[in-house]
Amino acid sequence: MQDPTSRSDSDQGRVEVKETTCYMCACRCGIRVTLRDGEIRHIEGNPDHPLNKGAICAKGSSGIMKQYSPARLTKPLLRKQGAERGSSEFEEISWEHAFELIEGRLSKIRAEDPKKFALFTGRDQMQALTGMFAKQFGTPNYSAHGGFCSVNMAAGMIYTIGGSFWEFGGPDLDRAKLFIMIGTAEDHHSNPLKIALADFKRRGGRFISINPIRTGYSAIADEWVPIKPGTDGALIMAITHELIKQGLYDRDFLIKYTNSAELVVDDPSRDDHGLFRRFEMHIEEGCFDPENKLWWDIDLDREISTHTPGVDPRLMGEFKLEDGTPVKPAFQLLKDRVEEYTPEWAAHITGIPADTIRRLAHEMGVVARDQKIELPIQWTDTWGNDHDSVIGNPVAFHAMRGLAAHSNGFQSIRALSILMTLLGTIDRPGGFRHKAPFPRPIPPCPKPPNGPEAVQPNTPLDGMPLGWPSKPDDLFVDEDGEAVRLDKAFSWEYPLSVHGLMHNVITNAWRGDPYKIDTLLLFMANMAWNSSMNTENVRKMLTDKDESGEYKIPFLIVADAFQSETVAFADLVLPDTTYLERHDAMSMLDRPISEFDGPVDSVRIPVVPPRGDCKPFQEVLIELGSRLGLPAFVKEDGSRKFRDYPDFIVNYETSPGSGIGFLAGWRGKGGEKFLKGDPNPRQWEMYKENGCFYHYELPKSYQYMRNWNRGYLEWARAHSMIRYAEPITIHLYSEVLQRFRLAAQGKWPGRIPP
Amino acid sequence: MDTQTYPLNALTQRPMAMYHSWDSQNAWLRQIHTHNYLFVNPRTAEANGFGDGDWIWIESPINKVRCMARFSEAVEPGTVWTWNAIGKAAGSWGLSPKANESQKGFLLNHVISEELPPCEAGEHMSNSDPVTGQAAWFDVRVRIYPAEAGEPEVTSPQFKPQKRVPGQDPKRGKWQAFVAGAFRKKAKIQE
Repeated sequence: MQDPTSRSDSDQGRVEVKETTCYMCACRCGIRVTLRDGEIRHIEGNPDHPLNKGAICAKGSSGIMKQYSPARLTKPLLRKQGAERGSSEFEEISWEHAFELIEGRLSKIRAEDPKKFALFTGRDQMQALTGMFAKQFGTPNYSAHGGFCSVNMAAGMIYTIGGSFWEFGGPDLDRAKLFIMIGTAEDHHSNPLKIALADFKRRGGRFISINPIRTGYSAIADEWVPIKPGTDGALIMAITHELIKQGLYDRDFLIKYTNSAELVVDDPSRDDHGLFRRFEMHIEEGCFDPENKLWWDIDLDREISTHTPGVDPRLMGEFKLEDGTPVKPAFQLLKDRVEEYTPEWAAHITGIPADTIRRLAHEMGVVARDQKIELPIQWTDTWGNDHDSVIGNPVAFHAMRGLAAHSNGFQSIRALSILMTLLGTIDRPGGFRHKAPFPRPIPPCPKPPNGPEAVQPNTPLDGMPLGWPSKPDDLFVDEDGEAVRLDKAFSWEYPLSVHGLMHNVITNAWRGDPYKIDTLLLFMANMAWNSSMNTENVRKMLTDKDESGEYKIPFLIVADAFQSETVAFADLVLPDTTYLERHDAMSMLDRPISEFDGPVDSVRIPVVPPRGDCKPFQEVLIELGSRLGLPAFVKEDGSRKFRDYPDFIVNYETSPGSGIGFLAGWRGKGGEKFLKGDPNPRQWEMYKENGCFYHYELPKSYQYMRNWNRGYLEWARAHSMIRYAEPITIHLYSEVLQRFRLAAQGKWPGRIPP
Repeated sequence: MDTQTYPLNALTQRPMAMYHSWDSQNAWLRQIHTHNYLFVNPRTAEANGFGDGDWIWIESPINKVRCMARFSEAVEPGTVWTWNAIGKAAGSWGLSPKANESQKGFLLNHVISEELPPCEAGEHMSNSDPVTGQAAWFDVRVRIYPAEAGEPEVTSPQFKPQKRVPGQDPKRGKWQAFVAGAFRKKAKIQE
């Protein structure tokens, strides 16, 4: 071993430092990789990167050992003829042979019944591409791992406030005074959250952790409140009960920015019970929640159009409209609902003493009310009112799988979103803040197809495989009300399954319920081990045969960089590269790494060549898309459109001439445009010269109150982040859920369950 | 759910040093941990008759797993928990079939069902949130009890060791097998 005090690595051999993006977890920190003579020697954090600001963790700095891992797959493999599936008996084959096999199989499926091909992916960071491939192929059977991870966090929050934690929003710890973390362990954003927490504590902020277990970030919490698993909803309802009882809610915020004061029909005998009373007006195409609702005017003591200037509406009470319809403000419905949820009631369920619950509620409410922040930032709301400042109530929250991974998770997280709303903390300093492309309309516009006719031979799927239902008629079911998707997403059983149900794919395919499939392609998803429930039996299903001796799941393709448990069950193995060997785009079309102050996207650029015959999975999809003649991947004459993945990233546009593509930075022919502009042939080089990320800082006046910020909403529409610039009113009351309840009661004019 | 028979909640968390299943192949991160324990509040362990470091069974209505217990006061007494995905199947991830990951490490997933028992809503309802289809991993209920004297001190279930595949390194390099303290004996360092 050389003496490090007298000699340096750089004395021997050629030393280079290359920048790219980490993938040792899903946080996507910026890294600098030191190479000597082309070999990786050292990895450190990139101090100029907006996400991690130079921080690196144990995992990130150990990336070098992943590169040299003895688990690396280096050759395409085919299960040996006669060998049993699961026996790990493979022969090496060429990529050409592998592509021919897949092309033959998939082109036949596509011509006969595209849904017999299913593509499910794990912790991939290219869902915009994998989802697009599935849509182009024509199969509805696609999702990533969200269904078994934390879809409740996304759905519960997006269906309430139009954004959610992690990459689409988070706690503004730079200005918060009180921070409450619920059900979070060592979850995302790891390094950025650690940096923010350290600064927060140094400034004297108070950090409360509510969790059955005290680990991870909770190590530095000022107070640990142990709670019984799955009872977070009860705790939050009791806190809400206390806040309402004590009057510790932000009345002005609720009236202006949420549907709290809007009048809901309140007569269980009527078919429109529980829906907002709406009047006729022109509605922009696709706008789900137009402003055609009513308030109850305190002075006139009658109904009046919402947001009528100068009007102060009732939040509580029950009223009769001019035509005799009984109505209540949405806030009154919440008040009625939580009436019985006292701290004593919740103490029994959660294991938290009633006095502690009352103290927590009081602390949240008083900090929000008495420690307000006012920033001298002018902005204009969507109703045309100019504001001289932005107000913040400095109570911030963060939550993750502890709330999400329960069968009551969606409602618990909706309750948390309502609590954050009552405190007046949404997209305000010191509270929750959005990250582009969020906030989005509630719910976002893309919808899944709503019937089996969307699946046709040799035709792209008519709709996106995943979307955001707003009513029963958006469900993806057939005439009998049965699921069209293999995982039964968007069915009556799981109506808002916006990330699919990957955890049921193997069981359903094995059972042939709702139908049998032919080929299952899994990308970096360890479904024969830790990504499946009931693992021991799922492994048996993968090798189970029918009466004729054929495997019940006939063909299994596994794409992975490593010899996972799932690889043993593959019929065909496609060796993927590591993150240090490939191009990637953390895209605004997908899950970017935006900051509170504006959009950020980033890339990976290879620092070393692929080992053996490894091929990035993106290249596999581009190759297959071209071979199968999927419209997005070929020219009109059927010839190949994109040379490779980097070429695809540069030249793909969401629609011809839209100027919107996978990467937002350095667009336009010479790289002079941002967010929107013609393809730039030198875009990758420009990312490389700039640390592999692009950060656009919004004007200060667009950085807050974005749900109702006219300038921001128009900017976001102009850059295709949202389809229309209507205010994104917070759904304290969810009319979406009521529509499904009415359908269940047979009162919905459209689809009703079988 | 019979919460008398299965009185405890069982959870998993992600450790700081590894990301899901990804890092048992990583020579540096393996120095931090190569297997997991079931963390149990000492009061709960005492009530169930076992001690710190003992081999125990964790059982749900669908399956059971043998694992090692570790006392922790940082968990409320009604909950037991472990690190997710540190336990591995023998021979996977380029590991020796006798590696700690498969012999002492365990996977809690075996005791969590992907479907609910048949009920009025259907024969095969997913074990998920009925609104979103989110997998309800953390709804699982378990009981825990000591392994019997004479039971093998190896995690259960075990699977037939997975073979290396063509194109994989034939074995882990010696330089990747280093574990802190491995050379203490050679260097004559006393414990």
